[in-house]
Amino acid sequence: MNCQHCGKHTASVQFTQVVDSQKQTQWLCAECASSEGLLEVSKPKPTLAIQAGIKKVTISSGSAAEVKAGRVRCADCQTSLAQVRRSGRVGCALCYETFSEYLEPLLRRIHESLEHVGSRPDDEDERTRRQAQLRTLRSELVTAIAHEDFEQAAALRDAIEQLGGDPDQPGDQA
Amino acid sequence: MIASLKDLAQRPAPWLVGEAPDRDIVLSSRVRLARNVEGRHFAHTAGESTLDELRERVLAATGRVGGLVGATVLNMEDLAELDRRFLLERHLISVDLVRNLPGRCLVVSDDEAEGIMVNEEDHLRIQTLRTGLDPLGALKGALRLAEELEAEVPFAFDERLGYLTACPTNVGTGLRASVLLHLPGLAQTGDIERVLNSLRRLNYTVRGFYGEGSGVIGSLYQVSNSVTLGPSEDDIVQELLRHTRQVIAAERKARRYLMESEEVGLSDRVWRAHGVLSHARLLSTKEAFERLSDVRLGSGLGILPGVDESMLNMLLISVQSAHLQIVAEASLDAPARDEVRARYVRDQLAIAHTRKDER
Repeated sequence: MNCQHCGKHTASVQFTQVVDSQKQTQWLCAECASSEGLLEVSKPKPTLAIQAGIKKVTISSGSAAEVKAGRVRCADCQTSLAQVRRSGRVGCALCYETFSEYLEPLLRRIHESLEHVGSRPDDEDERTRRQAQLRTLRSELVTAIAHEDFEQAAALRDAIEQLGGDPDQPGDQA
Repeated sequence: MIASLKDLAQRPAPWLVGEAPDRDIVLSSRVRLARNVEGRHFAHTAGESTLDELRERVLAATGRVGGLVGATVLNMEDLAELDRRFLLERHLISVDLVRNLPGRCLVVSDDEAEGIMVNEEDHLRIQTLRTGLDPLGALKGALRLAEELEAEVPFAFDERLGYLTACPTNVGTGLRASVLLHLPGLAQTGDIERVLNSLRRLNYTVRGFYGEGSGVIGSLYQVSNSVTLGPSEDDIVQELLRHTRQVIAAERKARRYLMESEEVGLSDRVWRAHGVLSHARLLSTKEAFERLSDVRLGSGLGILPGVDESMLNMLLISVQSAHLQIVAEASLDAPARDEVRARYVRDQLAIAHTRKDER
């Protein structure tokens, strides 16, 4: 995905802000994130209070070292690796991607393989399409909100809801 | 619809009665499938409003699922702690639902053979129970329910990892298949640990019947698969079936050996147990389970002819504390429970004998 600010570079930082108890998420490249003064990219931390109205910045898709250090939180449910370790449970479907470097060796120890064999949803292809559609709509929603195009944002929220998604759960694409 | 918990408490759990092959050793078979609703946080990270929404969606869906039409819905928030412990004793809910209430509920069919726990560790825990050694029948029932539900509520699924669950130990098929075994012969000959260890080496989990932490009482063991990712549902259950048959053969051999080498001692133990159950005025849960186990063994070996095995199986559930208190419609302290339990067991055995005499 490209940066939703400059549109040129690959996005590497998920930027979540809470405004009037509404969670808004934006994917930014490292340059835009730092030039906006949102964070110091050289020292990423799971949460940073930065400026008025902005509660936290979440770093996803972290390096193995960061995941190991427990710094990464799931962009959807905000679960940290430390919590996963402590409880033995992940918080949502996206956690399986976020913490894959930790989970894969674990899954390999518990199970026979990492490939599911067995029953699958009847409409698997359709669901894959629907999830891709949801992802697109969500990123359009983020852009609309960034451009303060609230009419468009409302229409996108309706479309997301119609596809069975929750417009207030920005990361529920999995 | 189940009229009341008291009605439930006074009747045997249907999955413990009825004829089935090898039922003197395998009491029942059980399957559960873990599923989560697509696009929602798992139950332990979801807020109460999400849990409520999930419950509504699942309940709306169950209304359209064949196997669950007319099923009873029990919201944990509406139940007293004693009621919840009763459902736990009856193996319809887990400890999780006794402790956590918001958004949690149980959907259960009239015959208690099919059900769903909503918002347990996973949004849906689809569960089926069958009498005797029938894990394939239980699997078939659970997969049918899952398939019908999935047409109404899409489940979180990853094309590689399969069905996604809160605990990575359940990911893939989300399947836990188990058999409830009565192995007093192996316990008596001392071979039980060897058999259980070989099951553990084959990646099975072995637990007692009466919940976590209670240990094994009355030689009742629950054996379940722990691998859920890799093999198909059918492979998992076929393997469980194959290994269970080996355990059955080992138990039969142990019983034959005991009959040949120490028949009098064995017969004495069985009759003493029958005497205690028929005449005791105070009976603790543990003593009840242990003596019921002896009588059950005697019945299986023909030492105690004509004892109704379904009645014995029913007692394995209904002598538990919450059951006795639901039937008595009163909160009872431990000594009072022991007295009520002893009277209840005496009455049941007497009824069984009357029935036998009438025949």
